[in-house]
Amino acid sequence: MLAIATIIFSSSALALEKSIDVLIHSKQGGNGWERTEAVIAGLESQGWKVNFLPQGNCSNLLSTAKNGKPAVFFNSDASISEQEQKGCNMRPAPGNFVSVLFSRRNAICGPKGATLEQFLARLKSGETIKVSSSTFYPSKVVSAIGPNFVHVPYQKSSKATAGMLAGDADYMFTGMTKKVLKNAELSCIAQGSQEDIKGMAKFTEVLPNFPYANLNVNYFLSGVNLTPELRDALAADTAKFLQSEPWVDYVTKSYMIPASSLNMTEADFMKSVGDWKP
Amino acid sequence: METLTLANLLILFGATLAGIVVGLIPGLGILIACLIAYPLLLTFDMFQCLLFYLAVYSASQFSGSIIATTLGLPGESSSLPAVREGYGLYRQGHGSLAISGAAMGSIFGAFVAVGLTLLFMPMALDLIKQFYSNNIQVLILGTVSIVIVFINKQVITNIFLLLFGMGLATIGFQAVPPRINYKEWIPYDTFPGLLGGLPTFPVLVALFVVPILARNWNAQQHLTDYNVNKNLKPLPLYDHMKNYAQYIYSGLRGSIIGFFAGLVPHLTTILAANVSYILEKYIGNKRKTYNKHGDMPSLISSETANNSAAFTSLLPLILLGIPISTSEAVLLFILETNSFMVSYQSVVLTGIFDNLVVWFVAINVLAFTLAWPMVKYVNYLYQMPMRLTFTITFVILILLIGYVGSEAYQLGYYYAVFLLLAPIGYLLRNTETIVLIVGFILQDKIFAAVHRAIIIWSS
Repeated sequence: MLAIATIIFSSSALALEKSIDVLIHSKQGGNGWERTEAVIAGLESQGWKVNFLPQGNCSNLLSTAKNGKPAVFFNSDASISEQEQKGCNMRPAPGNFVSVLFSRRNAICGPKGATLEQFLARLKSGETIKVSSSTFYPSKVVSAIGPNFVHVPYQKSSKATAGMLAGDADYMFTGMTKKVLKNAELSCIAQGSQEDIKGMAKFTEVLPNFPYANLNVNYFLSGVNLTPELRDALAADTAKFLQSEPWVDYVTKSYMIPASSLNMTEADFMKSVGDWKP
Repeated sequence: METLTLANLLILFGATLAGIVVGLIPGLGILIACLIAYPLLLTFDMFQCLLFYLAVYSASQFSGSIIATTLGLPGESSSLPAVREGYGLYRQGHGSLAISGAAMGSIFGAFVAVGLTLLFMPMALDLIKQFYSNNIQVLILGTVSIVIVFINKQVITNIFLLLFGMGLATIGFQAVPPRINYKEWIPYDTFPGLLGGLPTFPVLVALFVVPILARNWNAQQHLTDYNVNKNLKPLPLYDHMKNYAQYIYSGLRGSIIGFFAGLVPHLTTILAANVSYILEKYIGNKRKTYNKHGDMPSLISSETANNSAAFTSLLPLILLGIPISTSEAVLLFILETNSFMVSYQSVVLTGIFDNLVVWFVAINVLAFTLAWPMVKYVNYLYQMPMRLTFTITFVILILLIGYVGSEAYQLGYYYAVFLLLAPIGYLLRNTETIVLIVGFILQDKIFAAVHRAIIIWSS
C-alpha cells in the first residue's frame, strides 16, 4: 500500500512540477531549431520549467534518451523516414506521442503562366510529365500523381524550383509554403487542401486517382520516458499554447493547418509516418 | 548600405590581413586560411562568408607577387610570371617599381573586372537562369573534374585520387539518389555514426593539410637570413604612378584576359596570369621591347590579370552554386553547412551581389594599402623558421577538429576519422591531393546530377 501510495504521490508531484528536458537533433539556424524554440516559449508560457539540450544529431538524441529522464522533441513524420534511412529510429514509442502541432499540405506548381487546363491535357495525353521535388518527398509519392509522371529528385526544394525553371522538369511537387505561393516565377495550379487557396484546384477534384492527395507533413511533439500523467499534462498545455496569438498567426500566415482542425490521434499519426516511407 | 556594419568591417580587415599572410607563405593558401577560420565562418551569414573568401583570395594575390618579386618564390600558383619577370627586375635594382607596378596592376584589374561584370550582368540574368539546367550542371561539374584530373602529368594518379575521394564521400546516408553506400562492406551496425558520413573538416585536414605540411617541412629553411630590402630603393609616389601609367595598356589587356580566364574551371587566376604574360611577352618580342632580364609590361599584365580573374572566378559559384576550384568547393560546403543555398535568387535578387561588388573594391584598396608597404617586413616573417609556422598551423587545426567535433556532439568520431586518415595523408605527401578533395566534396553533386541526367534523358 505504502509503495503504491508513494508511486501515485511521486507521479502526481512530477506532473505538478512541470519540469521537462527539450531535446533537438537538428542544427542551429534551421527551421527545426526555430520551431523548437517556439515550442519552448509555448511550454514556458504554460508554466513549464524547460531545460533545453541540443544534441546535434538523431543518434545523440537517442543516446541521451537512454538516461531515463523525461524529455520531448519536435519533429515531422516525413523526417522520421529520412532518419530511419540514416539508421536512427525516431518513431514515437507507444505512450510517448504528445501532439501534432500543425500540418502542411502539398502543391503542384509550374513555370509562370502554367495553367490547370494545360496540366490536365498533358495528363490525359499520356505523354511523359517530369516533376521535380526535393528528396523530402519519396519518389513513390511524386510518381503516383499519374501513370505518366516521372520524378526528378533534388536535394532541396529551392534547387528543385531552379531546375524546373531551367527546363529539367515540367512541374514541381512541393510543400505549400508562403515562399512558394509568393514566388512570381511560379504558377501553382493544384493543392492538397480542401479549402480554396489562391484559386488553385484541389488534388481530390482533379487527381481522383492520386493516392497521396491528402498526404500532409505533420509536425509533432513527441517524447521519451514520459509517464501517462506527464504526457497528458504536456498535451493539455500544448493545446493551450497552440491557441495563443503568435502560434495561430504563424500557422495561418504559413498556409498551414492548425492542430485544433486535425484532431489527430497517435494511431492516425503513426499511419501517416508509414505513408512517408520510401 | 545595410552591410556597412562593424562586424563586416572587422571581417574585411581580418580576412584581408589573413590573405596577405597566406600569400606570403609558400605552402599555405586560401583553403588553409578558410579551414583555420572555419569555426568563425560557421557563425557568418552568407554575405559575410563570401566577403571573407573574396578578401582572403584577393589579398593573397597582392602579397603573392611580393615574395615572387623579392625572393623568387611563387607564394600563389598564379605568381609564376612574377617570379620570372618581377624577380628579374628586383635583381636589376628595380624591385620597388616592380612591386608597385604589380600592386597598382592588381587594383586596376579588380576595378575593370567589377566594371565589366556590372556591364554584362543585366543582360546575362536570363541566361544565368538557364544555367540551372541539369545538363549544363553536369557539363560544368564534369569539366571541373576532368580539368583537375588532367591538369598535370599524373593523370592515372589523379584518377585514383578522385575515385578515392568520391569513395570516402559515399560512406553514410546519401540524401539524393543514387544512394550508393556499400551497406555490405561498411559496418554501419557496429558503428552507426558512419551513417552520417565522414565529417568534412577532419577529412580536409588529414588529406589536404597533412600532405602540404609534410611536403613543405624541409623546404624554405635557407631563407631565414635573407634580406629583401637590399634591392628595394625608396622612390616618391609620383615615380611609381608614372611607371605604371606608361604600361596602362598592358594592364588593360591583362584585365580583359583575366575577366574571361577567371571563368575557366580550376585554372582561373593561374590561366589568367600565364595567358596575359605570354601575350605581353609576344607583343614585347614583336616590338623588340621585351627585356629578358625582367620585363615590366609582362609583369604588370599578368598581375592585373590574376586579380581580375580572382573576382570573375567566384561568379559561377555565387550565380549558379557551382564551384570551379577546390577552395570554392570548400566555401560552398561551408555555406551549405550554414544552410545557405547559393543561387542568383539568393545572391543577386537579394542585393548581396551588389553589396559584394562594393566591398570587393574596398578589399582591393585595403589590400593595396597594406600589401605594398608590407614588403619591408617580409624579412621578419622569413626570420621565423617555417617549421614553426607549419607546427603552429597544424596544432591550431588539430584543436579546431576538437572544437568542430564537439559542436557536432561527435568529438571522438571527428578525431577518430582524422587519426585514421592522417597516415594516408602523410603517405600522399609527394602528391597533389586537391583532386581527392574535389572528389570528396563534389561527389554527391556529381552523382545526383548524373542520376537526374539519366532520368531526364531517358524520359
